[in-house]
Amino acid sequence: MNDEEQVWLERARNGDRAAFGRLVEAYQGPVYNLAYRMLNNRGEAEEAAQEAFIRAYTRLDSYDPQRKFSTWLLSITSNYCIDLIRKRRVTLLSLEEPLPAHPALMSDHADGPEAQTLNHEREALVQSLLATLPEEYRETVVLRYWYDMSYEEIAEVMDTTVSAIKSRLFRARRQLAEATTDGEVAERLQPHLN
Amino acid sequence: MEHEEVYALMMDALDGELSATGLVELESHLRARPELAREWEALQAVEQLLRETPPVPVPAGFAQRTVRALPMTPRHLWLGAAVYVLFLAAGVIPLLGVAWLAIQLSPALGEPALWSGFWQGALAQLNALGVILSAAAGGMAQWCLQHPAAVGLPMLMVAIVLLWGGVVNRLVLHRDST
Repeated sequence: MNDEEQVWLERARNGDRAAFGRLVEAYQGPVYNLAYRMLNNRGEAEEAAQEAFIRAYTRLDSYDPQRKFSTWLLSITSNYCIDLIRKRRVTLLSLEEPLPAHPALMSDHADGPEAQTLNHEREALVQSLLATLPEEYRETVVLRYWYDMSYEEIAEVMDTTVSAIKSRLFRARRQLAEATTDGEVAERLQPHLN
Repeated sequence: MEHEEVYALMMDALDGELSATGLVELESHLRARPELAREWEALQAVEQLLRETPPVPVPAGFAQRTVRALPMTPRHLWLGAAVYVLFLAAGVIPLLGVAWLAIQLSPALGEPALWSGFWQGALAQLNALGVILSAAAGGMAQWCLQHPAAVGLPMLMVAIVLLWGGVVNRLVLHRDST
């Protein structure tokens, strides 16, 4: 967190909504992405990300400045997403179900139509693979690959031990590798490998 | 070497923490065990897929919507409560003062002379108001009779405005219903 963000945080703690808005702008990407990867549904992801920010805002007094703000915020997001998954398990898309096109990917005009299609297929494949994992494994994978977090940081976000994280990532990787040996998944994966 | 130890080497390799000698060791195990070599290939494929998948963009206007949805903080709630109490006190305190005054004056309020004086005064005020209003109405009526165009023209304009308002309203309602 840079100095400017420290100032916004301090103002937000004093009830300045605009200052908190600056923090939302700064961290909306990580929070939304975590929610999207966890929930596999952009509508739910937006709601969850918004709820995570609201919870953070109402709990700013309990935030320990010694902790990294992003870690604290992602911890709130992941806890909320896991609660949501447990409550709405039935609404989660399974591996067999077709995944909706992600409009943001489809609207990437910088790429040509072929690249867009490939991006869309990659996104669908990744989400379908993630959906095969239990939520704790999924969260570990997301934090490791999209946030480039160390085992220690992931353990802090998930409020567990480093050895538990190593074990989850090990099992998650093997489970994902196992899923790719399925004929159809292997076929879908092939165009995305060099 | 047990499978678990080979897996540990694989995980270290995926995390980029395997030394050159460790890598050589892993490769020799994979050459000797084709089933592990197949799994290693699958692990590497997943690794590449995940590492090369970019983050998804945030929906447009997300930050603005989130800020609008923020609730009042406890600090704001206290401030709101303080303002409410202030307004309440501003209304209640004068009321209590009047009540107190009424209690203090209650013996005097029972005096018949006080009430007859009050009614006489009120009637005199009403009479004066009646005289003023009737004089104003008479004067206006006389002026209107002398200048009929000055009265008729504004009335005509008001009628036109109301008519157009009705037409527009009808058109808008008609459009919405279709």
